[in-house]
Amino acid sequence: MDSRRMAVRCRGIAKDFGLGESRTRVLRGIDLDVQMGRMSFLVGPSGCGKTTLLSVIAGLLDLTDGALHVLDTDVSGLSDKEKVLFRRENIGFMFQQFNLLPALSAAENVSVPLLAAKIPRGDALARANDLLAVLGLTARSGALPSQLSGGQQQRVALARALIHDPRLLVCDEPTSALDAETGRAVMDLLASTAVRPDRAVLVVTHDTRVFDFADTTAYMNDGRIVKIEDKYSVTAA
Amino acid sequence: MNDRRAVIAGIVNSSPPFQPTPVIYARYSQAIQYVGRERNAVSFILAKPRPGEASETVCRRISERTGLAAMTRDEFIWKTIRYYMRYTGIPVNFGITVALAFIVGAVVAGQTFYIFTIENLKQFGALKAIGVTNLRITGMILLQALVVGLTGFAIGMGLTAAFFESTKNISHLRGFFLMWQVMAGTGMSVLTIIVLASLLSIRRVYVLEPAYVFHGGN
Repeated sequence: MDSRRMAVRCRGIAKDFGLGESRTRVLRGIDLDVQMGRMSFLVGPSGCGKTTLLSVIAGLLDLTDGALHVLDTDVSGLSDKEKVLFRRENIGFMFQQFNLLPALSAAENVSVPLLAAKIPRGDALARANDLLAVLGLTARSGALPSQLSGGQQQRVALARALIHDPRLLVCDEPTSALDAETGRAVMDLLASTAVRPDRAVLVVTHDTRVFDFADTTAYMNDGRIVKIEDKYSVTAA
Repeated sequence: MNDRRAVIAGIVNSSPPFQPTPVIYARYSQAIQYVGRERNAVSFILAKPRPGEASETVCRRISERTGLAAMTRDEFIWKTIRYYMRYTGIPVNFGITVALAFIVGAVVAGQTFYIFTIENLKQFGALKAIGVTNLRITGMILLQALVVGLTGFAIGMGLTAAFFESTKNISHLRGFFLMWQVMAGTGMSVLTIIVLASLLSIRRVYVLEPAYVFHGGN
């Protein structure tokens, strides 16, 4: 495997929560590589540690032990302020409950990462409208989240995650709040617009209806990676 | 009055006193005809210095010659205020009313902002995850608080001003008017309340882990 195309490299990642007697080890020595240009899935039963691993990789949680390189950067060595900047520039987020700002229109929601990076409002909104057009939401760009269907809200969330052209997109249960048909439509859109040679997509899910979208699937259980399936390796075999 | 005929020469456009007793202005020589001579019936005598003479000088001279207290306008104002402060319940009652209004306002505003923050914690978590700094979020919350506070202040002051404007010709309410100092003081109070309320909310956002946004368990 070409290491230059690796977006994420985890070696012996451990994560504890709590202190003293109540200390609990949630991640127990994770070794994982996430490749550029692929959609990688992190799957497993509830409570297995997949969301914690996603949070650690995205720089939202500090790891307890191990080595973590994201986009060739040692994330554990960054200060809190550097992590904020790193996330802002390099990582896009999709959440299970969309988490759109209710008082902002679809276009304004999409423009938030650009505004956070101090891009002028007019330019940010223009880029947001362009991206919404690509995702088939031109007519809904002025609508509030409450005026959008679940599928439309997740497409807006996808646009928000991609607007600043991140090199790593992390998605937490992106289809769990959607029905099967809408969920597959969102995954189709994710696969067609987000996956690029210079970007990695990491999806945490337990939604078996969309497992077939994965290029690589890492199965977790009890804080460990127990199996990794690679679509291309299987095909080659 | 007191079996004597009196002719009203004019009506004074003054603030109503706290007591319901009517106030009649007359020369001293006329006044004693209406109320009769009593021991210590005189509370005070108004005097006007001749042009060119300082009030302080005149007061000192009166005190030296009569042995009575003589005060300038400002000294008399403050003596009256001190009297009400020390010997009546008015300042305490007014103070309690204002303090209650401030406390209720602060608690209600604080609770409203706090609930707003709690209800939007996921959104704030999402913003922090995306890379919005605490400083920026603080600015957002303060801006929202200022807009809400300013709107409430404008509505409240507008209604108050409208009340005074519509009642300015009612004789019972004569003397009640809206001073700019009251408006400024109210504005400062509103500002203090919304800043305190916002700080309470902001503290919750500051300690929020951005990973909170991934609520779906481990």
